[in-house]
Amino acid sequence: MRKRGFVLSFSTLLIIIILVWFAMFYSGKVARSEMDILRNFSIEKAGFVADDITGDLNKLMGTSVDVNRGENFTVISLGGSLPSAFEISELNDWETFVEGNYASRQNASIGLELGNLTDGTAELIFSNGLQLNQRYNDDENFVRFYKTGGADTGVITYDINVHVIGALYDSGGSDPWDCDTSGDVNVNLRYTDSLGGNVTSVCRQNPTEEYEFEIEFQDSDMELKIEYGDIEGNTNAVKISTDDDDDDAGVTVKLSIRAELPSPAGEIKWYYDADLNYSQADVKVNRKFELGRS
Amino acid sequence: MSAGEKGFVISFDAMIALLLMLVMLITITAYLGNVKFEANSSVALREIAMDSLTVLDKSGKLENAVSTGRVNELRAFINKMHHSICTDLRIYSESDLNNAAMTVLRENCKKSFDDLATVKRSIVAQNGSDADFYLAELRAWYRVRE
Repeated sequence: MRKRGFVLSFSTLLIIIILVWFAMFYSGKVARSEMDILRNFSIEKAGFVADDITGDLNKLMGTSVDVNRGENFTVISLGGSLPSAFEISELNDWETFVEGNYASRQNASIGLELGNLTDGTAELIFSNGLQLNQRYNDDENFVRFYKTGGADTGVITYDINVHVIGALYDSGGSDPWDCDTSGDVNVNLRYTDSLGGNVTSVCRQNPTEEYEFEIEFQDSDMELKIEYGDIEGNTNAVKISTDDDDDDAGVTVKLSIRAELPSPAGEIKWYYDADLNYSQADVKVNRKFELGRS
Repeated sequence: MSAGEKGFVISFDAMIALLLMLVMLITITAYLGNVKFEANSSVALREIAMDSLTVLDKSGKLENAVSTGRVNELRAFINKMHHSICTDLRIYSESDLNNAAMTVLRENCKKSFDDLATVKRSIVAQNGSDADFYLAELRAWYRVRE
C-alpha cells in the first residue's frame, strides 16, 4: 500500500517537473528565435540602403532601363535625354553627401567608386555583353548602344523615338539616311519635336553598313545625328548624338530606344560601371550598382 | 494509529500534494505567460516603415514635397496607412541635419511607444540642372489606445 503511494507521488512529481522543464525550454526557445529574427535586420538594412543609393544614382544619371526577357525574344527599353537632366558634376556632390552625412545617419560606412562615371562617359553594362555608353561633355553628348568586343548586338528590331523640346525640324537642312528594304534588321525611327516637326522612317537596314540621319533645326545651331549599323567597329549598334553648343541652351532631346533580340540562355542583369561598398558591423556589401535583372 | 489519526495524515498529505501541484502549475503558467512573439510585431512595424518610405521615395512624393514645400501628398499617403500605425515623417536638408525642414506627424498619434521603428532614405531633388540632397526619416510605432 505504502509502496503504491510512493510510486503515485513520484510519478506525479516527475510529470510536473517535465512540464516545468518544457515551459522553461519553450520560453527560452522563443527568446532565441526573436534574437535570430532581429539579428537579420542588419542584412535587410544593407539591402535597403543599397537600393536607396542605387535609385538616387540612377536618377542622377537620368537613364531608364527595362528588360523583358520572354521565352523566345527579349525586349530592352532604354530611355534618356541629351543633355542629361543633371550636370555630371552633381555626382561628386552626391558622393560627398552619401559618404558623409547620409552614412553617419545610417550608422554605417559607405564608400562609392564613381570614377568610371564621372570621367565624361558613363557606362551601363549588361551581363550578356551589351553596353550603353552615355557621354557628357561640353563639346559632345551622345548615347551609344552596342555589344562589346566588336560583336553584333543580335538585335532584330530597333524602335528609335526621338522627341526634341525647344527646336523645330528643318527639312531642307536635314539629311535622312539611305533607307534599305532588304537588310536584316528593322530600324524604325520616329522623330517629333515640341514645335510640330514630325518624321518617320521605317527601314530594313544592313547591320554591317553605316547609316546616318542628320537632323538640322530651323531656329537652333544644334545638330542631332542618329547613326545605325557599324559604329566604331561594333555592328548592329545605335548612336544618337548632339553637338552641344552654348547657343542651344534650352533644347533638350528625349530618347527612347526599344531593341528586340533573341532571348539569351541565361539571366540578364544590368549595372553601372561603379562600385558600392557598404559596411555596418559584420555586414558588408561590395558590388556594382545593379539596376535590375530579368 | 486510530482511524481518526490515519484520516488526518491522509488529508494532510493530500493538502501538501495539492499545494505542491499548485505551485508547479503557477510556475508553468508564469513561464508560458511570458512567451510573447514581440519580434514579429517589431519586424512587421519595421517592414511597414521601410516599405512606406520606399514607396514615398520611388513615387516621387518626397521630391515633390521638397520641391514645392507642400506636404499634402505625404499627409494623404500617411493617413491611408492602417489605423493602428502611427508615423512621424521628417525631412532634413543636407545642409542642416539637426532641424527638420518638413514634418508630418499622423493625426491623433501620441508619441508614446514601447516599440519604435526608424528608417531613413536620401532624396535627390532636381533644381534646374543642379541637384539638392535631403534625408527623409520615418518613425513608426503602434498607436496607443486611450
